[in-house]
Amino acid sequence: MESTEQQFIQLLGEHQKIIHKVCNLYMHHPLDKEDLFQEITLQAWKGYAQFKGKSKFSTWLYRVALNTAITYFKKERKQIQQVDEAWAGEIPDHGKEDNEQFNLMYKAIGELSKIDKAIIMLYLDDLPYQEISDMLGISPNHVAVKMNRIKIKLKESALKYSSTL
Amino acid sequence: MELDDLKHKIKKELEQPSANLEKLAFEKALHTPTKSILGKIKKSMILEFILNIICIAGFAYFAYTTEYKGLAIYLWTFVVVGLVFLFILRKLYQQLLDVEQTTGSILKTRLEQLYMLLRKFVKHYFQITMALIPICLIYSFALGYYDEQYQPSTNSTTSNSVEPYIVIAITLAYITGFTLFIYYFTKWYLRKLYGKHLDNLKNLLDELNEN
Repeated sequence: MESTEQQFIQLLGEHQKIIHKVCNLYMHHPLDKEDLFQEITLQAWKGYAQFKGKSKFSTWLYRVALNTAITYFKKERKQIQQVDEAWAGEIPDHGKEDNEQFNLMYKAIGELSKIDKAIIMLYLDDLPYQEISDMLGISPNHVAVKMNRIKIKLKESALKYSSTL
Repeated sequence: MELDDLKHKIKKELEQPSANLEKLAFEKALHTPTKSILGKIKKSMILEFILNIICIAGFAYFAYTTEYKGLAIYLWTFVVVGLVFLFILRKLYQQLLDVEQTTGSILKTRLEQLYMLLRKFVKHYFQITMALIPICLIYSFALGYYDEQYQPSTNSTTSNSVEPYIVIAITLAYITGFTLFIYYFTKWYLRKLYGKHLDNLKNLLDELNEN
């Protein structure tokens, strides 16, 4: 049992970027991120016995992390109130003009729905539509349609924000 | 500016652990209590389980020791209902444990599993509460009425002074009022506890299926 736990922790450590990505994408307040981080780790541990190695560990961890984040409804009201300030506040300084574009896009992503965020995250990781569809349980065509809509949504949101600046 | 132009930069940014997560150990996270909806239902089920066993034991003891036949039948009925509820709880708990282990399943499947489980739990909870109303009221009145030992000896004075139709009217009004109160209260209580989660899960499924 002890060695299984150590093995699991080691695997998590190697793939912790996945958990950080999901936490940053779905939560905005540092305390909420911490809560989600703990919840994903815990849920992954609970499901680890069912992981038979048929898929890659990273693929399995993506599923656990996204499933947990999407069905994690705690403190949602508080979160909505904090979206603007927290997302804008946490973005580091990357440059000047370039940074402005980045900030707008980053903020626009923060306002997407939970499902759209999942698609965006997998897309950013260059996963093929087939693999995204396998994770979400919808057809690859459906993923493509949703992805096009998300891109349009992001462009519009970014434009909207830039006009208010 | 298009998303694809910033793809790499956004990805890098999302991968950065926020300050408090860097020092958070996985070992510690493994041993913290869950805050998921499944955890909430699990806690609720365990509490129901314990309370139910205490009630069954208490009712069985009093039913066995009482000398009033009506009261004994009434309490034994509760014991039977309690045992049925225990059986349903046990079945639901097993389903919950099964769902809990499939954390790495396909998102749509996971959402459907959670939605069905939560709906089933709310439905059974409501049904059992509603089933207790006739037992609590009508059944107890009937048993009390027919069991001579169960009736207080001073009843003769009361029955002489109050018209039977008034007694029936008050009783019916009481039963109706109590039933309506329990019905709406249970609905409100379940809605408050799980309604938002059910709505959220339904919305997520709708969004996922949306063309």
